[in-house]
Amino acid sequence: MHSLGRRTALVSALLALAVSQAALADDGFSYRFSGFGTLGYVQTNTNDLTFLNPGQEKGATKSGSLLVDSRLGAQVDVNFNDQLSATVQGLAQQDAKGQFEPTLEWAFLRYKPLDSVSVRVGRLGWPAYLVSDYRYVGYANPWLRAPLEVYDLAVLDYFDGGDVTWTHALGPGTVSVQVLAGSADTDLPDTSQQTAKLGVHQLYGGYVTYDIGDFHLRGGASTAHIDYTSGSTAPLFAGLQQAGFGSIADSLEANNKRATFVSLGGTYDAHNILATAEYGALHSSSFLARNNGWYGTLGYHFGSWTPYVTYGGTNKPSEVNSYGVPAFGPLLPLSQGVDALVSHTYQHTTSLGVRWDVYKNIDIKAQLDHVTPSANGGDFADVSPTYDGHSVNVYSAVVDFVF
Amino acid sequence: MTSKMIKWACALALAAGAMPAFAGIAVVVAAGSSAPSMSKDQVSELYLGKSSAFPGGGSAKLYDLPESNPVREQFYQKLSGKSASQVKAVWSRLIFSGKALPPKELGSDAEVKKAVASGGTSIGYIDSSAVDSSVKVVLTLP
Repeated sequence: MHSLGRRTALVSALLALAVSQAALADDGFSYRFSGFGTLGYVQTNTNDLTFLNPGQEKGATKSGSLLVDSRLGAQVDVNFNDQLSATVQGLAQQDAKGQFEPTLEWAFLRYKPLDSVSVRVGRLGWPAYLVSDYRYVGYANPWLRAPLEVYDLAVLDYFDGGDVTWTHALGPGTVSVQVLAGSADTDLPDTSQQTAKLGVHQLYGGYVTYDIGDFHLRGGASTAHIDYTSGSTAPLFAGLQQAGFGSIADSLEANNKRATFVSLGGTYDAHNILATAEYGALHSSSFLARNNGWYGTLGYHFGSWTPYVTYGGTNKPSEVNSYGVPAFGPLLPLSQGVDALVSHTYQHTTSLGVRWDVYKNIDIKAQLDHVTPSANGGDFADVSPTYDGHSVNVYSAVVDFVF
Repeated sequence: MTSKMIKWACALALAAGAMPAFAGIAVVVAAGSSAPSMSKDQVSELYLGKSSAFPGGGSAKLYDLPESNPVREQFYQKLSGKSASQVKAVWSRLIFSGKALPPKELGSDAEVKKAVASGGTSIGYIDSSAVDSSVKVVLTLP
């Protein structure tokens, strides 16, 4: 409710500014409406765990789901003149409560005092990943979905704040440096069937992009103070406090703890070859601890067909030895709870897929993922207590479109 | 030097005579523009959204032929080796990251020529056979 009010205020402010500036603009005024969407179906070969995208509540098992990959987005761009423009993007997809709901992804004003400098203010996409800016635009991506081994590391789509980007020719290529500051509040799904909240404050980041010929390289880091509150971890931290392990609870709890996310990626797309790879690492002083992931994708364009293969992995090393809650008597549940939060979590995925450009603005993709998670389920959700760490096959098919 | 040029002119005339319907694609600016000749890479950077700098200063205004026109597919193929759908994917990335808007699509060679001829930092591409004195050719893709 509160955040809806804030969003409405933000949009009204942008529109008011847009209208007043439009009246002032003497030439170069133009606008454009664009949209994108995906209709996707996914199912797996097991009921022991649930496959979903980061930030979602409902997913696929042997029973398939249309809610994991389906989404619909719309964007309006308004150029008032060569210096000033506004962009608003709305996106409907499954949210943390399992509902297919629209959210305001972006709403920003861009000012270009010089050809080489761009300043943006408003709600901006968090640019940490190689495809952050168009991750949900299936048509713009080679894979059926962004590889979860990396894209599940830090779940934050947008922030409210500002950024400055400076672009300059460097050697035979073009370098672009972006610095950002802001804050964000995001709902996350929670095993307790309530919504967990992620608060990101004092978010600062810097990213460098280098384009040279058909190569595109991007890397950088963001750091912030984060608050994570959830109905499933709160009782554990309260129990630890009562049992006299307050210091352990304090160090586990993500309560105004610093988190830093470092990422590096690159892509090559020419001569019908498509190659892309990315690495990300999250460091935090809380139960989120250290977590890193990577993937590599190779594809080849045969006319309108593009088969591809992706291999990815994620690894969150165990921190169990750092927390000495005795594992006996009435303390056993607490000890197990702590171990579950900080145990070794990993996952490897081999994906085979194909993209078929069936019409000028429509593609069809099919993908098979062979996933081997750790016995606690890796990136999967709703892990059955009887799950033994066996591999899982995920079968997906989507239709992507842009207009 | 001169004889070389005459040979070239003859070759071009022969080629033009042999293929009157399709003589290549001309990248054009306004006839009075001070823009120098452009390289394939420069034009490719503009039409794939990597740069928006008009040679000689300012920000380029790009024009596209409609998707139904075969010259468009040939233009991107010759320029970058990319198919129409690959180019569309490139522009989707730019549009939906709020970074750039795609070239403005016009209906025909004549409309592109007219828009470009009006001057400023306009750039377009047309079938070479449609080139006339209202525009200046900055690059020819054979």
